[in-house]
Amino acid sequence: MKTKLNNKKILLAMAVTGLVLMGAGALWGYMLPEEAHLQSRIAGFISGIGSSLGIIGFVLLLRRARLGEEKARDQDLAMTDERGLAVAYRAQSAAAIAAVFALVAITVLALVRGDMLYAGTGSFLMCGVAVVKLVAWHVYNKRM
Amino acid sequence: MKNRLEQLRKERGVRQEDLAQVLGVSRQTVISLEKGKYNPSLALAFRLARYFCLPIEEIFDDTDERA
Repeated sequence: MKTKLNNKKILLAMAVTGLVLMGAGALWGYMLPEEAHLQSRIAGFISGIGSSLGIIGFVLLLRRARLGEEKARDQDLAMTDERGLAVAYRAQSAAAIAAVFALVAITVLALVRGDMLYAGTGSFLMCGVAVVKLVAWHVYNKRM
Repeated sequence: MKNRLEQLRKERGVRQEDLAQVLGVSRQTVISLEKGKYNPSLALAFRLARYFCLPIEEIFDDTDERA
């Protein structure tokens, strides 16, 4: 995936395909009668996929043009080499801790407000996170 | 962990970009290694040792770690 997204031709094809799909979806949706709900949804889906592809393609192309080929390749490598992976692992750990704190905060808030459904769901999810961590620890402990 | 990477690289007149390319890492990783901010994996340490034709202990100094 990384190698493919580094290829300028593929990025250009992605951007153009995206724009074509976006235009086709929008045009199809515009031409449909009001009662054609299903086709309208499909047109919206095509248009949505197209705009996502187009924007991603153009942003990556712009980034390459701004940085230059060599620097862009180096920055891509910086995300995926061993230091990049170590940095990503630490960032992910920090995000996981923040997510657990957010879950605790929501659960406490739900308890304070007396909303037992949300409080119960929050508590259940917190227990789930603890169980996942315990199981993952044992799995990796055996593997390494 | 302290290391002699910067000194060895400069002695050989190699640019950070070129060393990074040979090692298959980014220039940022080479910079971090030279500053001692990042300790390489065993595989990367071996690649460095092979590149400089030196044993690992002559590139990296682990006296601080052992203390």
